[in-house]
Amino acid sequence: MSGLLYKDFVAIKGKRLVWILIIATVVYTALRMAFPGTVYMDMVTNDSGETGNLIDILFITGEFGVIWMGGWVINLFGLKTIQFDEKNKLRGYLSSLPFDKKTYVASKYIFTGILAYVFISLYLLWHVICTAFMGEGFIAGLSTLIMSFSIPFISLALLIMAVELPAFLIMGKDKSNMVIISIVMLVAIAVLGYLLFGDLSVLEKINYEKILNWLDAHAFGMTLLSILSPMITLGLYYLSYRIAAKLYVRKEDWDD
Amino acid sequence: MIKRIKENKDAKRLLIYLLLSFGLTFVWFAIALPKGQTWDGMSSEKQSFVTLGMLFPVIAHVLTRWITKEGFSMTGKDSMMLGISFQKKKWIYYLLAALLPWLYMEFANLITLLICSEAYDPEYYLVMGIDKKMLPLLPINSIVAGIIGSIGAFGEEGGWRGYMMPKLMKLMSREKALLLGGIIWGLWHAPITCIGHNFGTDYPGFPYVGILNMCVLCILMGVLLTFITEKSGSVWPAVILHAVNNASPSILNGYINPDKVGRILGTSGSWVGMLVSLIPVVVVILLLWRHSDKA
Repeated sequence: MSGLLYKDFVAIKGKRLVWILIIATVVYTALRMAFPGTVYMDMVTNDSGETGNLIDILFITGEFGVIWMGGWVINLFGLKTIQFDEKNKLRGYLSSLPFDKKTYVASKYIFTGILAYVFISLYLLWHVICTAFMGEGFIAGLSTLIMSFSIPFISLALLIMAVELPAFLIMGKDKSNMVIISIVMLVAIAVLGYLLFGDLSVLEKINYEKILNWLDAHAFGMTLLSILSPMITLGLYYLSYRIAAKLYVRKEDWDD
Repeated sequence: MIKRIKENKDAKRLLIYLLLSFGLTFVWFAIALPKGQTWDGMSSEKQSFVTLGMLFPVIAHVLTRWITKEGFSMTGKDSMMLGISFQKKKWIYYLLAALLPWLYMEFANLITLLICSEAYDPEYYLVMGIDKKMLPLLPINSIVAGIIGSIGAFGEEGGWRGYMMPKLMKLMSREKALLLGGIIWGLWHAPITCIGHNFGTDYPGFPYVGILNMCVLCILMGVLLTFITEKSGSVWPAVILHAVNNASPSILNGYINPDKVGRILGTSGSWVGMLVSLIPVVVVILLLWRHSDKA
Protein backbone atom coordinates (compact mmCIF):
# COMPACT_ATOMS: atom_id res chain seq x y z
CA MET A 1 0.00 0.00 0.00
CA SER A 2 2.73 2.49 0.94
CA GLY A 3 4.37 1.83 -2.45
CA LEU A 4 1.12 2.69 -4.24
CA LEU A 5 0.74 5.86 -2.20
CA TYR A 6 4.32 6.87 -2.96
CA LYS A 7 3.65 6.32 -6.69
CA ASP A 8 0.67 8.70 -6.43
CA PHE A 9 2.83 11.18 -4.50
CA VAL A 10 5.32 11.12 -7.38
CA ALA A 11 2.49 11.41 -9.94
CA ILE A 12 1.34 14.73 -8.48
CA LYS A 13 4.95 15.94 -8.10
CA GLY A 14 4.43 15.77 -4.35
CA LYS A 15 7.93 16.87 -3.31
CA ARG A 16 7.54 20.13 -5.22
CA LEU A 17 4.07 20.65 -3.72
CA VAL A 18 5.37 20.04 -0.18
CA TRP A 19 8.17 22.58 -0.62
CA ILE A 20 5.78 25.14 -2.10
CA LEU A 21 3.41 24.72 0.87
CA ILE A 22 6.23 24.91 3.44
CA ILE A 23 7.78 28.02 1.88
CA ALA A 24 4.35 29.67 1.50
CA THR A 25 3.58 28.99 5.18
CA VAL A 26 6.93 30.36 6.38
CA VAL A 27 6.55 33.47 4.21
CA TYR A 28 2.94 33.95 5.37
CA THR A 29 4.01 33.66 9.03
CA ALA A 30 6.90 36.11 8.60
CA LEU A 31 4.72 38.63 6.74
CA ARG A 32 1.92 38.36 9.28
CA MET A 33 4.34 38.92 12.15
CA ALA A 34 5.84 41.90 10.31
CA PHE A 35 2.43 43.37 9.42
CA PRO A 36 -0.01 42.71 12.28
CA GLY A 37 -3.54 44.12 12.29
CA THR A 38 -2.42 46.81 14.70
CA VAL A 39 -0.26 48.37 11.97
CA TYR A 40 -2.40 51.04 10.37
CA MET A 41 -2.85 50.61 6.65
CA ASP A 42 -6.29 51.69 5.49
CA MET A 43 -9.62 51.30 7.24
CA VAL A 44 -12.66 49.82 5.54
CA THR A 45 -16.25 50.06 6.78
CA ASN A 46 -18.97 47.42 6.43
CA ASP A 47 -22.75 47.94 6.05
CA SER A 48 -23.23 48.11 9.82
CA GLY A 49 -20.71 50.93 10.08
CA GLU A 50 -18.05 48.79 11.78
CA THR A 51 -14.47 49.39 10.70
CA GLY A 52 -11.65 46.99 9.99
CA ASN A 53 -8.03 47.17 8.90
CA LEU A 54 -7.37 46.50 5.21
CA ILE A 55 -4.20 44.62 6.11
CA ASP A 56 -6.31 42.05 7.98
CA ILE A 57 -8.48 41.61 4.91
CA LEU A 58 -5.37 40.93 2.83
CA PHE A 59 -4.23 38.16 5.18
CA ILE A 60 -7.73 36.68 5.47
CA THR A 61 -7.72 36.40 1.68
CA GLY A 62 -4.62 34.24 2.02
CA GLU A 63 -6.31 32.10 4.65
CA PHE A 64 -9.40 31.73 2.44
CA GLY A 65 -7.13 30.95 -0.50
CA VAL A 66 -5.77 27.87 1.28
CA ILE A 67 -9.19 26.34 1.86
CA TRP A 68 -10.34 27.21 -1.66
CA MET A 69 -7.15 25.75 -3.11
CA GLY A 70 -7.62 22.69 -0.86
CA GLY A 71 -10.98 21.86 -2.42
CA TRP A 72 -9.54 22.36 -5.89
CA VAL A 73 -6.32 20.38 -5.22
CA ILE A 74 -8.20 17.44 -3.68
CA ASN A 75 -10.28 17.13 -6.83
CA LEU A 76 -7.56 17.83 -9.37
CA PHE A 77 -4.74 15.80 -7.83
CA GLY A 78 -6.98 12.97 -6.66
CA LEU A 79 -8.07 12.37 -10.25
CA LYS A 80 -4.62 13.11 -11.68
CA THR A 81 -3.27 9.96 -10.01
CA ILE A 82 -5.77 7.84 -11.97
CA GLN A 83 -4.97 9.67 -15.22
CA PHE A 84 -1.26 9.12 -14.52
CA ASP A 85 -1.82 5.34 -14.26
CA GLU A 86 -3.96 5.38 -17.40
CA LYS A 87 -1.47 7.44 -19.42
CA ASN A 88 1.53 5.34 -18.40
CA LYS A 89 -0.42 2.07 -18.75
CA LEU A 90 0.49 1.21 -15.16
CA ARG A 91 -2.58 -0.82 -14.27
CA GLY A 92 -1.43 -3.84 -16.26
CA TYR A 93 1.97 -3.67 -14.59
CA LEU A 94 0.44 -3.14 -11.14
CA SER A 95 -1.78 -6.21 -11.57
CA SER A 96 1.38 -8.35 -11.74
CA LEU A 97 2.48 -7.12 -8.31
CA PRO A 98 1.53 -8.94 -5.09
CA PHE A 99 -1.54 -6.93 -4.01
CA ASP A 100 -5.17 -7.30 -4.95
CA LYS A 101 -7.31 -4.95 -7.04
CA LYS A 102 -9.17 -3.71 -3.98
CA THR A 103 -5.88 -2.42 -2.55
CA TYR A 104 -5.36 -0.38 -5.71
CA VAL A 105 -8.82 1.21 -5.35
CA ALA A 106 -8.24 1.76 -1.60
CA SER A 107 -4.95 3.55 -2.34
CA LYS A 108 -6.80 6.13 -4.46
CA TYR A 109 -9.34 6.79 -1.70
CA ILE A 110 -6.66 6.96 1.01
CA PHE A 111 -4.51 9.31 -1.07
CA THR A 112 -7.44 11.68 -1.60
CA GLY A 113 -8.23 11.43 2.13
CA ILE A 114 -4.62 12.34 2.98
CA LEU A 115 -4.88 15.39 0.67
CA ALA A 116 -8.04 16.47 2.51
CA TYR A 117 -6.31 16.08 5.92
CA VAL A 118 -3.24 18.00 4.73
CA PHE A 119 -5.29 20.92 3.44
CA ILE A 120 -7.62 21.15 6.43
CA SER A 121 -4.53 21.10 8.69
CA LEU A 122 -2.78 23.70 6.59
CA TYR A 123 -5.87 25.90 6.67
CA LEU A 124 -6.08 25.62 10.49
CA LEU A 125 -2.41 26.58 10.67
CA TRP A 126 -2.91 29.68 8.51
CA HIS A 127 -6.06 30.56 10.46
CA VAL A 128 -4.12 30.48 13.75
CA ILE A 129 -1.30 32.59 12.26
CA CYS A 130 -3.75 35.11 10.77
CA THR A 131 -5.98 35.57 13.84
CA ALA A 132 -3.06 35.80 16.31
CA PHE A 133 -2.18 39.21 14.86
CA MET A 134 -5.67 40.43 14.09
CA GLY A 135 -6.50 44.06 14.79
CA GLU A 136 -9.75 45.32 16.22
CA GLY A 137 -12.88 45.52 14.06
CA PHE A 138 -15.30 43.33 12.16
CA ILE A 139 -12.65 41.28 10.31
CA ALA A 140 -12.28 38.78 13.18
CA GLY A 141 -15.94 37.81 12.70
CA LEU A 142 -15.25 37.33 8.99
CA SER A 143 -12.39 34.97 9.79
CA THR A 144 -14.63 32.93 12.12
CA LEU A 145 -17.25 32.77 9.37
CA ILE A 146 -14.71 31.43 6.87
CA MET A 147 -13.60 28.88 9.45
CA SER A 148 -17.16 27.63 9.99
CA PHE A 149 -17.35 26.96 6.24
CA SER A 150 -13.98 25.20 6.01
CA ILE A 151 -15.10 21.75 7.22
CA PRO A 152 -18.31 21.66 5.10
CA PHE A 153 -16.26 22.86 2.11
CA ILE A 154 -13.66 20.09 2.43
CA SER A 155 -16.48 17.60 3.18
CA LEU A 156 -18.16 18.66 -0.06
CA ALA A 157 -14.89 18.19 -1.95
CA LEU A 158 -14.65 14.66 -0.52
CA LEU A 159 -18.29 13.92 -1.43
CA ILE A 160 -17.65 15.05 -5.02
CA MET A 161 -14.63 12.75 -5.07
CA ALA A 162 -16.83 9.93 -3.74
CA VAL A 163 -18.73 10.23 -7.04
CA GLU A 164 -15.83 11.03 -9.37
CA LEU A 165 -13.33 8.41 -8.16
CA PRO A 166 -15.52 5.39 -9.03
CA ALA A 167 -16.42 7.00 -12.35
CA PHE A 168 -12.75 7.59 -13.28
CA LEU A 169 -11.67 4.15 -12.07
CA ILE A 170 -14.34 2.26 -13.95
CA MET A 171 -15.01 4.31 -17.09
CA GLY A 172 -11.63 5.97 -17.53
CA LYS A 173 -10.83 9.66 -17.87
CA ASP A 174 -12.51 10.54 -21.18
CA LYS A 175 -15.81 8.75 -20.67
CA SER A 176 -16.25 9.96 -17.07
CA ASN A 177 -15.41 13.53 -18.03
CA MET A 178 -18.09 13.30 -20.70
CA VAL A 179 -20.64 11.86 -18.25
CA ILE A 180 -19.85 14.46 -15.56
CA ILE A 181 -20.03 17.36 -18.01
CA SER A 182 -23.33 15.98 -19.39
CA ILE A 183 -24.83 15.79 -15.89
CA VAL A 184 -23.68 19.32 -15.03
CA MET A 185 -25.06 20.62 -18.35
CA LEU A 186 -28.39 18.85 -17.77
CA VAL A 187 -28.72 20.42 -14.32
CA ALA A 188 -27.75 23.84 -15.69
CA ILE A 189 -30.31 23.53 -18.50
CA ALA A 190 -32.99 22.42 -16.03
CA VAL A 191 -32.30 25.42 -13.76
CA LEU A 192 -32.21 27.81 -16.72
CA GLY A 193 -35.46 26.32 -18.08
CA TYR A 194 -37.15 26.76 -14.74
CA LEU A 195 -35.95 30.36 -14.46
CA LEU A 196 -37.24 31.12 -17.97
CA PHE A 197 -40.53 29.22 -18.06
CA GLY A 198 -41.23 28.05 -14.48
CA ASP A 199 -43.50 29.52 -11.85
CA LEU A 200 -41.15 31.87 -9.97
CA SER A 201 -43.87 32.94 -7.55
CA VAL A 202 -43.09 29.70 -5.64
CA LEU A 203 -39.79 31.28 -4.59
CA GLU A 204 -41.59 34.37 -3.32
CA LYS A 205 -43.94 32.22 -1.22
CA ILE A 206 -41.06 30.74 0.77
CA ASN A 207 -41.42 31.97 4.33
CA TYR A 208 -37.88 32.49 5.56
CA GLU A 209 -39.07 33.36 9.04
CA LYS A 210 -40.85 30.02 9.22
CA ILE A 211 -37.64 28.25 8.15
CA LEU A 212 -35.59 30.13 10.76
CA ASN A 213 -38.18 29.29 13.43
CA TRP A 214 -38.07 25.65 12.40
CA LEU A 215 -34.27 25.67 12.60
CA ASP A 216 -34.51 27.30 16.03
CA ALA A 217 -36.96 24.68 17.27
CA HIS A 218 -34.74 21.89 15.97
CA ALA A 219 -31.46 23.44 17.15
CA PHE A 220 -30.44 20.22 18.92
CA GLY A 221 -30.87 18.14 15.79
CA MET A 222 -29.11 20.72 13.64
CA THR A 223 -26.14 20.90 16.04
CA LEU A 224 -25.99 17.12 16.12
CA LEU A 225 -26.03 17.09 12.33
CA SER A 226 -23.24 19.65 12.09
CA ILE A 227 -21.13 17.67 14.58
CA LEU A 228 -21.82 14.41 12.81
CA SER A 229 -21.44 15.80 9.28
CA PRO A 230 -17.72 14.92 9.01
CA MET A 231 -18.57 11.40 10.21
CA ILE A 232 -21.46 11.17 7.72
CA THR A 233 -19.11 12.34 4.96
CA LEU A 234 -16.57 9.71 5.94
CA GLY A 235 -19.33 7.06 6.01
CA LEU A 236 -20.47 7.98 2.49
CA TYR A 237 -16.85 8.13 1.31
CA TYR A 238 -16.27 4.61 2.67
CA LEU A 239 -19.49 3.39 1.04
CA SER A 240 -18.28 4.84 -2.25
CA TYR A 241 -15.00 2.92 -1.81
CA ARG A 242 -16.86 -0.35 -1.23
CA ILE A 243 -18.98 0.15 -4.36
CA ALA A 244 -15.98 1.28 -6.44
CA ALA A 245 -13.88 -1.69 -5.28
CA LYS A 246 -16.64 -4.15 -6.17
CA LEU A 247 -17.24 -2.64 -9.61
CA TYR A 248 -13.52 -2.27 -10.34
CA VAL A 249 -12.77 -5.91 -9.47
CA ARG A 250 -15.70 -7.05 -11.66
CA LYS A 251 -14.51 -4.85 -14.55
CA GLU A 252 -10.89 -6.02 -14.33
CA ASP A 253 -11.95 -9.68 -14.09
CA TRP A 254 -14.11 -9.14 -17.19
CA ASP A 255 -11.18 -7.50 -19.04
CA ASP A 256 -8.85 -10.37 -18.03
CA MET B 1 29.20 8.80 29.28
CA ILE B 2 30.08 10.96 26.21
CA LYS B 3 32.26 8.14 24.92
CA ARG B 4 29.37 5.68 25.31
CA ILE B 5 27.03 8.00 23.40
CA LYS B 6 29.62 8.43 20.64
CA GLU B 7 29.96 4.66 20.31
CA ASN B 8 26.24 3.97 20.25
CA LYS B 9 24.59 4.95 16.97
CA ASP B 10 21.06 5.12 18.41
CA ALA B 11 22.18 7.24 21.38
CA LYS B 12 23.91 9.65 19.01
CA ARG B 13 20.81 9.91 16.83
CA LEU B 14 18.59 10.42 19.87
CA LEU B 15 20.86 13.18 21.11
CA ILE B 16 20.69 14.95 17.74
CA TYR B 17 16.90 14.63 17.80
CA LEU B 18 16.60 16.04 21.32
CA LEU B 19 18.92 18.94 20.57
CA LEU B 20 16.89 19.83 17.49
CA SER B 21 13.52 19.32 19.15
CA PHE B 22 14.35 21.38 22.25
CA GLY B 23 16.41 23.95 20.33
CA LEU B 24 13.82 24.68 17.64
CA THR B 25 10.91 24.77 20.09
CA PHE B 26 12.67 27.05 22.57
CA VAL B 27 13.68 29.42 19.75
CA TRP B 28 10.03 29.44 18.63
CA PHE B 29 8.85 30.23 22.16
CA ALA B 30 11.42 33.03 22.37
CA ILE B 31 10.00 34.53 19.16
CA ALA B 32 6.29 33.85 19.71
CA LEU B 33 5.84 34.46 23.44
CA PRO B 34 4.87 38.08 24.11
CA LYS B 35 7.46 39.47 26.54
CA GLY B 36 6.35 39.66 30.16
CA GLN B 37 2.91 38.18 29.53
CA THR B 38 1.38 35.23 31.35
CA TRP B 39 -0.61 32.45 29.66
CA ASP B 40 -3.91 33.67 31.12
CA GLY B 41 -3.08 37.25 30.13
CA MET B 42 -2.88 36.30 26.46
CA SER B 43 -5.82 36.18 24.07
CA SER B 44 -6.93 32.68 23.00
CA GLU B 45 -5.69 33.51 19.47
CA LYS B 46 -2.20 34.31 20.80
CA GLN B 47 -2.26 31.12 22.90
CA SER B 48 -3.04 29.08 19.75
CA PHE B 49 -0.16 30.82 17.96
CA VAL B 50 2.30 29.98 20.75
CA THR B 51 1.16 26.34 20.75
CA LEU B 52 2.28 26.02 17.13
CA GLY B 53 5.53 25.08 18.89
CA MET B 54 3.90 21.64 19.08
CA LEU B 55 4.96 21.12 15.46
CA PHE B 56 8.69 21.16 16.16
CA PRO B 57 9.14 17.60 17.52
CA VAL B 58 8.00 16.14 14.19
CA ILE B 59 10.09 18.70 12.27
CA ALA B 60 13.06 17.65 14.44
CA HIS B 61 12.26 14.01 13.62
CA VAL B 62 12.40 14.69 9.85
CA LEU B 63 15.59 16.77 10.19
CA THR B 64 17.27 14.09 12.32
CA ARG B 65 16.52 11.40 9.73
CA TRP B 66 17.86 13.70 7.04
CA ILE B 67 21.07 14.42 8.99
CA THR B 68 21.67 10.82 10.07
CA LYS B 69 20.61 9.40 6.67
CA GLU B 70 18.23 6.95 8.36
CA GLY B 71 15.74 7.12 5.50
CA PHE B 72 12.08 8.04 5.53
CA SER B 73 10.27 4.70 5.38
CA MET B 74 6.65 5.03 6.47
CA THR B 75 6.07 1.55 7.89
CA GLY B 76 8.05 -1.32 9.37
CA LYS B 77 11.09 -1.53 11.62
CA ASP B 78 12.84 1.78 12.38
CA SER B 79 10.27 3.59 10.26
CA MET B 80 8.45 6.87 10.88
CA MET B 81 5.39 4.74 11.84
CA LEU B 82 3.01 6.75 9.68
CA GLY B 83 1.19 3.78 8.17
CA ILE B 84 -2.34 2.81 9.13
CA SER B 85 -3.43 -0.80 9.45
CA PHE B 86 -6.72 -2.14 10.82
CA GLN B 87 -5.67 -5.77 10.40
CA LYS B 88 -5.29 -8.14 13.39
CA LYS B 89 -7.91 -6.09 15.29
CA LYS B 90 -5.67 -3.01 15.32
CA TRP B 91 -8.76 -0.84 14.75
CA ILE B 92 -9.43 -1.31 18.48
CA TYR B 93 -6.54 1.06 19.28
CA TYR B 94 -8.02 3.79 17.07
CA LEU B 95 -11.38 3.42 18.80
CA LEU B 96 -9.69 3.35 22.19
CA ALA B 97 -7.74 6.50 21.30
CA ALA B 98 -10.94 8.37 20.49
CA LEU B 99 -12.98 7.20 23.49
CA LEU B 100 -10.52 6.69 26.34
CA PRO B 101 -9.88 10.43 26.98
CA TRP B 102 -13.65 10.94 27.37
CA LEU B 103 -13.73 8.22 30.01
CA TYR B 104 -10.80 9.45 32.12
CA MET B 105 -11.67 13.15 31.68
CA GLU B 106 -15.18 12.53 33.00
CA PHE B 107 -13.71 10.58 35.92
CA ALA B 108 -11.11 13.30 36.53
CA ASN B 109 -13.81 15.98 36.63
CA LEU B 110 -15.87 13.86 39.01
CA ILE B 111 -12.92 13.61 41.38
CA THR B 112 -12.28 17.35 41.03
CA LEU B 113 -15.89 17.99 42.07
CA LEU B 114 -15.58 15.61 45.01
CA ILE B 115 -12.44 17.27 46.37
CA CYS B 116 -13.34 20.85 45.39
CA SER B 117 -17.12 21.01 45.76
CA GLU B 118 -16.97 24.84 45.68
CA ALA B 119 -16.12 24.59 41.97
CA TYR B 120 -19.57 23.15 41.21
CA ASP B 121 -21.61 25.62 39.21
CA PRO B 122 -24.96 24.19 38.00
CA GLU B 123 -25.13 26.74 35.18
CA TYR B 124 -21.49 27.09 34.15
CA TYR B 125 -22.37 25.77 30.67
CA LEU B 126 -24.13 29.10 30.08
CA VAL B 127 -20.80 30.88 30.64
CA MET B 128 -19.35 28.53 28.02
CA GLY B 129 -22.15 29.62 25.67
CA ILE B 130 -23.75 26.18 25.53
CA ASP B 131 -27.43 25.33 25.81
CA LYS B 132 -28.28 22.65 28.43
CA LYS B 133 -29.74 20.39 25.74
CA MET B 134 -26.40 20.51 23.89
CA LEU B 135 -24.33 19.38 26.88
CA PRO B 136 -24.49 15.64 26.06
CA LEU B 137 -23.03 16.51 22.65
CA LEU B 138 -19.99 18.21 24.17
CA PRO B 139 -17.75 15.09 24.26
CA ILE B 140 -18.71 14.02 20.71
CA ASN B 141 -18.02 17.55 19.52
CA SER B 142 -14.62 17.51 21.25
CA ILE B 143 -13.76 14.12 19.75
CA VAL B 144 -14.72 15.13 16.19
CA ALA B 145 -13.13 18.60 16.45
CA GLY B 146 -10.04 17.11 18.10
CA ILE B 147 -9.51 14.59 15.32
CA ILE B 148 -10.08 17.13 12.52
CA GLY B 149 -7.72 19.63 14.15
CA SER B 150 -5.13 17.05 15.13
CA ILE B 151 -2.21 18.69 13.32
CA GLY B 152 -0.71 19.98 16.60
CA ALA B 153 -0.95 16.57 18.23
CA PHE B 154 0.63 15.05 15.11
CA GLY B 155 3.48 17.53 15.55
CA GLU B 156 4.22 16.22 19.03
CA GLU B 157 3.44 12.51 18.62
CA GLY B 158 5.26 12.29 15.28
CA GLY B 159 8.39 13.23 17.24
CA TRP B 160 7.99 11.80 20.74
CA ARG B 161 6.27 8.53 19.89
CA GLY B 162 7.51 8.34 16.30
CA TYR B 163 11.21 8.76 17.09
CA MET B 164 12.18 9.35 20.72
CA MET B 165 10.39 6.41 22.39
CA PRO B 166 11.52 3.69 19.92
CA LYS B 167 15.11 4.93 20.31
CA LEU B 168 14.87 5.06 24.13
CA MET B 169 13.40 1.54 24.22
CA LYS B 170 16.36 0.32 22.20
CA LEU B 171 18.78 1.87 24.69
CA MET B 172 17.15 0.78 27.96
CA SER B 173 14.36 -1.29 29.50
CA ARG B 174 10.77 -0.28 28.72
CA GLU B 175 10.10 0.94 32.28
CA LYS B 176 13.19 3.16 32.29
CA ALA B 177 12.37 4.45 28.79
CA LEU B 178 8.80 5.37 29.80
CA LEU B 179 10.08 7.19 32.86
CA LEU B 180 12.87 9.07 31.07
CA GLY B 181 10.68 9.76 28.02
CA GLY B 182 8.01 11.30 30.25
CA ILE B 183 10.54 13.50 32.03
CA ILE B 184 12.03 14.72 28.72
CA TRP B 185 8.56 15.43 27.37
CA GLY B 186 7.60 17.27 30.56
CA LEU B 187 10.77 19.38 30.51
CA TRP B 188 10.09 20.29 26.87
CA HIS B 189 6.90 22.03 28.12
CA ALA B 190 8.91 24.08 30.66
CA PRO B 191 8.89 27.46 28.83
CA ILE B 192 5.09 27.57 28.69
CA THR B 193 4.72 26.07 32.18
CA CYS B 194 6.86 28.99 33.37
CA ILE B 195 4.32 31.49 32.01
CA GLY B 196 1.38 29.64 33.59
CA HIS B 197 0.17 27.12 30.99
CA ASN B 198 -1.85 24.30 32.65
CA PHE B 199 -1.15 25.29 36.27
CA GLY B 200 -1.28 29.10 36.35
CA THR B 201 1.35 31.23 38.08
CA ASP B 202 -0.16 31.59 41.52
CA TYR B 203 0.97 28.46 43.37
CA PRO B 204 3.63 27.66 45.92
CA GLY B 205 6.93 26.67 44.35
CA PHE B 206 6.12 28.36 41.01
CA PRO B 207 7.38 27.44 38.41
CA TYR B 208 9.40 24.40 39.60
CA VAL B 209 6.43 22.55 41.09
CA GLY B 210 4.55 23.15 37.83
CA ILE B 211 7.40 21.70 35.78
CA LEU B 212 7.52 18.69 38.13
CA ASN B 213 3.74 18.25 37.85
CA MET B 214 4.00 18.39 34.07
CA CYS B 215 6.70 15.71 34.12
CA VAL B 216 4.47 13.42 36.21
CA LEU B 217 1.52 14.02 33.86
CA CYS B 218 3.74 13.36 30.83
CA ILE B 219 5.03 10.10 32.32
CA LEU B 220 1.45 8.87 32.83
CA MET B 221 0.24 10.05 29.42
CA GLY B 222 3.44 8.71 27.86
CA VAL B 223 2.61 5.18 29.06
CA LEU B 224 -0.80 5.37 27.38
CA LEU B 225 0.49 6.89 24.16
CA THR B 226 3.51 4.58 23.84
CA PHE B 227 1.33 1.52 24.48
CA ILE B 228 -1.12 2.27 21.67
CA THR B 229 1.70 3.30 19.33
CA GLU B 230 3.57 0.04 19.92
CA LYS B 231 0.47 -2.14 19.68
CA SER B 232 -0.90 -0.48 16.54
CA GLY B 233 2.51 0.00 14.91
CA SER B 234 1.49 3.55 14.04
CA VAL B 235 1.66 7.01 15.60
CA TRP B 236 -1.88 7.85 14.43
CA PRO B 237 -3.77 6.36 17.41
CA ALA B 238 -1.44 8.39 19.68
CA VAL B 239 -2.17 11.49 17.58
CA ILE B 240 -5.92 10.91 17.98
CA LEU B 241 -5.64 10.27 21.74
CA HIS B 242 -3.47 13.34 22.28
CA ALA B 243 -5.76 15.55 20.15
CA VAL B 244 -8.95 14.35 21.84
CA ASN B 245 -7.29 14.71 25.26
CA ASN B 246 -6.38 18.33 24.45
CA ALA B 247 -9.95 19.00 23.29
CA SER B 248 -11.06 17.96 26.82
CA PRO B 249 -14.13 15.82 26.10
CA SER B 250 -16.35 15.87 29.19
CA ILE B 251 -19.97 16.71 29.95
CA LEU B 252 -18.94 17.71 33.48
CA ASN B 253 -16.90 20.60 32.01
CA GLY B 254 -20.25 22.37 31.82
CA TYR B 255 -20.65 22.20 35.61
CA ILE B 256 -17.15 23.12 36.81
CA ASN B 257 -16.01 26.70 37.18
CA PRO B 258 -12.23 26.40 36.70
CA ASP B 259 -11.66 29.72 38.51
CA LYS B 260 -13.16 28.26 41.69
CA VAL B 261 -11.19 25.01 41.70
CA GLY B 262 -9.20 25.07 44.92
CA ARG B 263 -5.81 23.66 45.79
CA ILE B 264 -5.02 20.32 47.38
CA LEU B 265 -1.62 20.23 49.08
CA GLY B 266 -0.70 23.34 47.12
CA THR B 267 -1.61 21.80 43.77
CA SER B 268 -4.62 22.51 41.55
CA GLY B 269 -7.61 20.28 42.32
CA SER B 270 -8.20 19.56 38.63
CA TRP B 271 -4.62 18.33 38.27
CA VAL B 272 -5.15 16.00 41.26
CA GLY B 273 -8.37 14.77 39.61
CA MET B 274 -6.51 14.07 36.36
CA LEU B 275 -3.73 12.26 38.21
CA VAL B 276 -6.12 10.06 40.20
CA SER B 277 -8.10 9.15 37.06
CA LEU B 278 -5.01 8.38 34.98
CA ILE B 279 -3.26 6.14 37.52
CA PRO B 280 -5.74 3.21 37.26
CA VAL B 281 -5.68 3.46 33.44
CA VAL B 282 -1.88 3.34 33.46
CA VAL B 283 -1.84 0.38 35.88
CA VAL B 284 -4.24 -1.57 33.64
CA ILE B 285 -2.09 -0.78 30.59
CA LEU B 286 1.13 -1.84 32.28
CA LEU B 287 -0.53 -5.12 33.32
CA LEU B 288 -1.83 -5.65 29.77
CA TRP B 289 1.65 -4.99 28.42
CA ARG B 290 3.24 -7.46 30.81
CA HIS B 291 0.54 -10.01 29.99
CA SER B 292 1.09 -9.65 26.23
CA ASP B 293 4.88 -9.94 26.73
CA LYS B 294 4.42 -13.27 28.48
CA ALA B 295 2.02 -14.49 25.79
